[in-house]
Amino acid sequence: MKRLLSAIAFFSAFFCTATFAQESCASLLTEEYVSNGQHYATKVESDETKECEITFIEGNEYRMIACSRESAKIRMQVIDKQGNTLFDNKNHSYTNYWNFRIKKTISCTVRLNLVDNTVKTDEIILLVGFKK
Amino acid sequence: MRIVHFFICIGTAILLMVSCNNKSSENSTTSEEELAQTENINKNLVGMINGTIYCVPSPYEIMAHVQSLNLQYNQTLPNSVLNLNLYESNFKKLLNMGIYGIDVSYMSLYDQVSDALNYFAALKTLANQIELSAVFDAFTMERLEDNMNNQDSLLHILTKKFQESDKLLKGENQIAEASLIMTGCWIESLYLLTQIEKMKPDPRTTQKIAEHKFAAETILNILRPYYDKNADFKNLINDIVDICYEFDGIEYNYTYVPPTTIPNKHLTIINSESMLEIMPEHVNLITQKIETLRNKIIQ
Repeated sequence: MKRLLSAIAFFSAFFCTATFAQESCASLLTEEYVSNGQHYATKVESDETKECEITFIEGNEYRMIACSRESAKIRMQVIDKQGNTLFDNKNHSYTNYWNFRIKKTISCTVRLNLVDNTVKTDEIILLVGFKK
Repeated sequence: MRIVHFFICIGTAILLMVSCNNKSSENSTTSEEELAQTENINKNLVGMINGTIYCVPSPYEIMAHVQSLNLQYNQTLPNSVLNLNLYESNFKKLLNMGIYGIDVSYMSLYDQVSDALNYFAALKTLANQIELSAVFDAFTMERLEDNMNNQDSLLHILTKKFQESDKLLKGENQIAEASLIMTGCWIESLYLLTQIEKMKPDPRTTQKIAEHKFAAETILNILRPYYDKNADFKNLINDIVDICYEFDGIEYNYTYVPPTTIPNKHLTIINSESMLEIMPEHVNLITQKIETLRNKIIQ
C-alpha cells in the first residue's frame, strides 16, 4: 500500500503540471466530439520534433487538438505515408485545433514542435476526438 | 449515446492516466456530479506507451458496428467468469482483465446488466490479486450494487475504475503490465468481430476486421520491448506475430489525392484513396488464430 501511495503522490505531482494544458485542450473538445482516448502528452525541447503514428478510420470526422503549457504556438503537421503534407497549421496561424473528414482509412504521422524559440522545454498535449 | 461513450472508454482506459484533479472525494460526489466528472475524465486522458499513440480501432467503432448489425446477444461469446480461478499468473490475470473489460462492453450493449455485475466482481477479484485492491474496494462494489439498475452509472463507475487501475500500474512503472491489459482488450475485440462475422457474414464486418491490420502492428510494437522479459511474453508475441503474418496478406493500397481545406470551418477533407483488400482465406485464418490465442489466454 505504501508503494502505491508513493506512486500516486509522484504521478499526481507530475500530472498536476500538465493540468493547465490538458484543460486548455479539453475545452476545445466540444460536446459534439467524443474523446477516443488518443491523448498524447510529452515533454519537448525547442529544437525537437515529436512524431505520433495515428490511423484515421474512414467515414469518421476527427478533431485534433494540440496544446502546450508555455508556448503560445505549436506547429502541427499531418503527413501521409508517402511524405505528403495533408495539413500544416503553419498555414492557418498555428491554430491549435483542426477537424479532419476522412474518406478512406489512412495511416498518418502527426508531427509536433515548438514554434517559440524562447521556450527551451515545454509539454505538448495532443488530443483526438470523434465527431458523434 | 452514453453507452457508446463507455465503449470508447473501456478499451482505451487501459492506456490512460488521469490528471490530479480527478482524484479523491469519491464518497461525497452525487451520481450526477460523478457522471459529469467522468465525462471530464474522458476528455483528460493521457495515453502513451513507448511513444506510440493507441491507434487500435476504438471499442467505440467496434461496438457501434455491432449495434448496427442488429444481432441477438450471444452469451457464449464472453469469457466465462467461471474461468477466473484458472488464472494463477499475473500475466494471465492482466490479459483477462482486458478481455473481461471488452466483454462487459459487449453485454452492456444488450442490456445484460446483471451479467455485467458478475463481470465487475470478476474484475474486482483480478484487481485484488494484482495489487489493485485500492481501485476495486468494498465501497466501489457497494456502489455498483446500489446502481445495479442504472446502466449508465454502472458503466461510468467501471470506466473510472479502469482508469485508476492504469494510473496505479504506471505509477509503479509497470508499463509492461498495463500493455498486457490493453493487449487483452485488443484480442477480445478482434475475437468478437471474427465470431460475429462467422455468425452473420457481412462485408462491413470484414472491413472492420481488415482495419485491425493497423491495430495488430501497434500491439506488436507495444509488446516487442518485452520479448525477452520471460517465456510468457515471448510466446504471446510469437502468437501475435503469427496473426500479423495473416494481416500482412491484406493489401493496403494508398493513393495520394490533394486534400480540400475549408479554413473558415477549420476543416480538411482528406481525399486520399485507400483500399484494404482482405481475402476470405485471410479472414478464416485470422479467425482461427485469434480464437486459438484467446483460448490459450482464457483457459
